[in-house]
Amino acid sequence: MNMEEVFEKVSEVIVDASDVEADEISLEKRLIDDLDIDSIDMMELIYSIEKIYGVELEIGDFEGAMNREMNGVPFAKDNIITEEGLEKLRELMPEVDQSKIQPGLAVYNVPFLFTVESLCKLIMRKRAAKN
Amino acid sequence: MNLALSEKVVLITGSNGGIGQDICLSFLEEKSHVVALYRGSSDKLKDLEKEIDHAGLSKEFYHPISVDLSSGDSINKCIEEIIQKFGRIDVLVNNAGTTMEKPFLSLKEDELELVYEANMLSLTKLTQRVLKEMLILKSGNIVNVSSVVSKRYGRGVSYYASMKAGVNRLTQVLASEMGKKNIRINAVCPGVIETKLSGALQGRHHKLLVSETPLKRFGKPTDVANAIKFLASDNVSSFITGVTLDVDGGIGL
Repeated sequence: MNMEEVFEKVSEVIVDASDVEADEISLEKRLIDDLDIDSIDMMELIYSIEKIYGVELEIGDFEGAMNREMNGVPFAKDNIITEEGLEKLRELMPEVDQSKIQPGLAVYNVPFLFTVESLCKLIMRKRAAKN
Repeated sequence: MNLALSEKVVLITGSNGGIGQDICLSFLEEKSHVVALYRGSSDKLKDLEKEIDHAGLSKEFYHPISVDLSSGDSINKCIEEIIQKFGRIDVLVNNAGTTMEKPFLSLKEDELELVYEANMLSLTKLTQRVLKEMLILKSGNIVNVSSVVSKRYGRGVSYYASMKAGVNRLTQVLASEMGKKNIRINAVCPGVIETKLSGALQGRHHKLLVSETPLKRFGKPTDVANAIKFLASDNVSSFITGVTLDVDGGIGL
């Protein structure tokens, strides 16, 4: 399962779940700000992907998922991402606008950073962890 | 009127209850696949099963499943089983609930939790899980069983009444959110219905309640079941969503 295959499938799901046209989708597009995917479409998108790939993306519990990823080092405190959390984000999401991963970033703002590539990578990471 | 509910997969909570039994029978008459959800021992379904036999209905479409609606894990397992068997869920009837007639100030903490759990939290958890399946299919109908006390009356059942008002509001907001996904969400608000649950109330206040009801009678479980079937049918109510339909003989007016 390579990035190209996952991108193709994710694009199909995005088209099916939202008003986005296939030719608007590219890896660097942000899901919310560029493609205008709203919260209900996002839910459909996530559940469809979870069903297709048999993985739980844990978008609804992003902080919990990151805490597990960081082996006990807190990802956030009072909803604000810690310095260690920011470092982990930079490592896991080099494709997103790095100027946005700055001190003061709130957990609830992370979904706004997500690009199509971030989603594809998350799927690949979860699949790899499962196998 | 053709409701076109044949072969639809219909989940009904509280299937062994006073109204629940009639809801099950009513969908079985339409040849829907009735997934009768109940908690604990299957002995609870004996009455319903007798009624199915008595009505001459086939059990081919009757699928009882035990589930603990207070547990996310139990709900998940139950829905996985249904999806594995049918591949989809067309209708969810959130009928389970319990009332507690007691002055507000004397309600104990565990009683408050019970009323909240039975009427609001369980409904919310199951709805969340079922909506995931409906979202993917972009199709589905949810009918919540609320109560007349969600809008009027409610002295002595204050907390139950507020939970039911919460169910109404959840119905409306979810309907506005899920409309674009072709999922309709409605509620029925029964008035005084002849069931075991309302037996004590009817006994004490029979004359008063009948005189207060413009149609001058108590409702029957089938009155509620028919309203639910109407709302669950895309053939007859496809442009209706977010309503809290009074099935109360006018007592709420």
